[in-house]
Amino acid sequence: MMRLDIEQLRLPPRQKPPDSVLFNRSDWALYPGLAAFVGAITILVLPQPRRIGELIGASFAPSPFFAGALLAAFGVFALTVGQRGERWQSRLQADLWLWRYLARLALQLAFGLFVLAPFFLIFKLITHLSPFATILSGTYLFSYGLVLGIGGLLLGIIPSESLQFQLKYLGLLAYLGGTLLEPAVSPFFNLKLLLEGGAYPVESIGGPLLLAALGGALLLLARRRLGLWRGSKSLS
Amino acid sequence: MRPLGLAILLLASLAFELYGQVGVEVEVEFGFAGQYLPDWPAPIWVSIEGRSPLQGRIIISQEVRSPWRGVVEERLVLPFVLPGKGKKRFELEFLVRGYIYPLQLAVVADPTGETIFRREIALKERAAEEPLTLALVGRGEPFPMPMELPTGERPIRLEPEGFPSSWAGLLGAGRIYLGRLYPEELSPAQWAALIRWIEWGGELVVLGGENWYLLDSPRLRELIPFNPTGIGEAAGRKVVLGEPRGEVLSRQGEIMLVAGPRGRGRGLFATVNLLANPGEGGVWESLGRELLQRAGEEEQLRLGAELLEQTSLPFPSKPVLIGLYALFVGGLALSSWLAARRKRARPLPLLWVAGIAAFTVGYLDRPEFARPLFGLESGLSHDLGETTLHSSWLGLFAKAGRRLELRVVRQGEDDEGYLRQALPEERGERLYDVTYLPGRGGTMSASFSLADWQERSFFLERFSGDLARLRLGGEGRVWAENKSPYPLRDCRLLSDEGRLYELEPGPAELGPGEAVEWGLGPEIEPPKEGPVARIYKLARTELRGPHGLLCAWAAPGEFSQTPLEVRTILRLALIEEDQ
Repeated sequence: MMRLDIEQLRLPPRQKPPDSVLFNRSDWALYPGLAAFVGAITILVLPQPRRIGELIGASFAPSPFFAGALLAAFGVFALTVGQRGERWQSRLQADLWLWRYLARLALQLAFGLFVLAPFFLIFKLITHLSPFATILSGTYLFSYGLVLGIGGLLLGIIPSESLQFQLKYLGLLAYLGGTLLEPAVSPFFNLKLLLEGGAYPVESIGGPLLLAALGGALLLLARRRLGLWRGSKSLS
Repeated sequence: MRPLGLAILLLASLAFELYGQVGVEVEVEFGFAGQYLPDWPAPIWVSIEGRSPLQGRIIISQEVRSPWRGVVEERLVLPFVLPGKGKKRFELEFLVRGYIYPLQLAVVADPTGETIFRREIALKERAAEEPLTLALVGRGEPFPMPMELPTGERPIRLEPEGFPSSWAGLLGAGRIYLGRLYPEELSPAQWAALIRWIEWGGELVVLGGENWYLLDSPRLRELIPFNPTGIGEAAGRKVVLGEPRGEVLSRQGEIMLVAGPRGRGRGLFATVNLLANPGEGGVWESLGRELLQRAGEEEQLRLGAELLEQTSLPFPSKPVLIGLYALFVGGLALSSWLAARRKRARPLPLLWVAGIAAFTVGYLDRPEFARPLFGLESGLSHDLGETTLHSSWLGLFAKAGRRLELRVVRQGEDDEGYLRQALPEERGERLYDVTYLPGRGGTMSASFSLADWQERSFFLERFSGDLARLRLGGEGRVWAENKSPYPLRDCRLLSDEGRLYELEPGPAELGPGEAVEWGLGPEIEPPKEGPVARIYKLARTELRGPHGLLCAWAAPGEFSQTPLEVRTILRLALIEEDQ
């Protein structure tokens, strides 16, 4: 049975300076960047103290903004983490099994979510979201990040950095923007629904299904690509 | 045999089913001989006759569709039990909105949920334009009366069976004429309802003359502003002889009309039977068409919402959150940078995030931010002499939608309150649906869903005994006695011109059961803004006599509170000078 040992994810001790999965010289700025973007949006969408008479019937709905900020920021974060997985492999100069990539990715995404915890707490308390809905939203965001992270892994093996950049942002924009046309499969509408804590319509299950299908396809592709690497030098 | 057995079984179950259907007979009586005043509670009697034990619910509902307010459905649900074969009559009071949309009445059997009776009550032909005038007479008594009185009123003849036993059921009536009736024909509950209704603001006209042979009773003598000594004759008519105890509105010898205040309403006594001779011009003229001013207009109903709308909804301070954000991002950047370079610094980012998250929860997890409901309960307890009318308003605002059951806190076994919903101006499809559940003693609770960022407001009226006493002496002396178990604070003297005076020596407080004498202090400015100013203004309009004592009424809230709610309670007590 495969066991996830955090020591296996770390670079060999011979590598100088000592690097870690979460904090290394190239990746450390990702977390403050993620927190800065989501935090700024969270504070912007918070209402000011006002007379109740002015608030009645007003559609105070921070969930679309919060969902949009989370998907954009966490999407870019996950893609970047995925892209850098390839560099990690090349620095290691050894064959890596796919699960080790995935475990490393999952650990980084989990820490990314942890970094967002204060904003989730602010949002939860202001909108009176239930703990269950909060956990569900976090889980959905994590799965979304995992799929995009695998996509990022594939992007990382493209030799042209310019093409990587274009594919990364255009792809994310196409995925988030394109699915807006069909709310049932849109991550935006799915996360918004979860953050509103209301009833989850049956048709919206299409969103997680699309995410799972996309994840599966990208995983298969990644497996093939990683198979090519086995025993060879990094492509970058 | 099998098909035959099956057929017998089917037929038997069908027969039982049909027996169950026809085994229950339901009769419905609506309003005052079928008439009612729109937007005021109307009495409805439902008689259920069953052949076997029956448990169920009587449901009265009205769905109002308005271009301004969308769709609103209000329901009144009364659970009932019929222990066996027999008939039971249930009385309900239902606030009927307008006259366009009919009432729906259903009797549902429990626990099956089967509707055993359904009827639609059309309202258009039954609606009155003005408060109703009732003429109450004994069972089968001849009581000739014209279709239209010289005052322009069109009286509705009622016998005791059609007279409500709850004061709320009488709110649609403006004046009641009492004619040929044995007082014993009214039940104690009906008498209590009649007295409460007068105290609330109704006008009772007792018609003397030959009716007095039937009417004379200690109960009625208490209600009229006249000391009867006997029956005589004047101008060939029977006249009640005696001494007036109130204001004589009209007098032609022994024929007179006397008025005396009772609470917000008044009792009138005519020494002759006016209806037997409508030509009694002077007396009729002094009766007038103008009925006493009615409290409870839509504007007053909405006071709860109006006061709540003036209050501010707290949110976490943005400067604090921006500071926290800058500290968090800066600290995270520094700790991550250090963690990437120093092995020992690796736990730092984790600890930093956990610390900031804990601090955020500490700052935000306070009731004013964390609880989704905001309520402002305000009230005016008006001491009207022997009785006190407590008017309470509740405004509720939800930051997050909730299903709620609002219970009215009952002050005693005989406490009888009437709860109404004030419909806001704002349009909302099914936003203001509500189900009322009457409890014991007539007090109601309301069950409803409160959508997020919406408000609801309710108005409750109930009576209690004497709250306090007030006497004004010469040289500016003010004597007051608190008869309640609650403290009265910050007392001031209010005049009918709206002037407010301090009482000396301060602090002007009346502890439970305490009697205090003060001197009149300097005039002070009443509050000009905010919810308290609005209740002061209301107290001024409510004041009946020349002076009243206005105190902060430190009684607990009338409406129950949920743990999800932050509630503020503002109550004033207005004590009228002793008559």
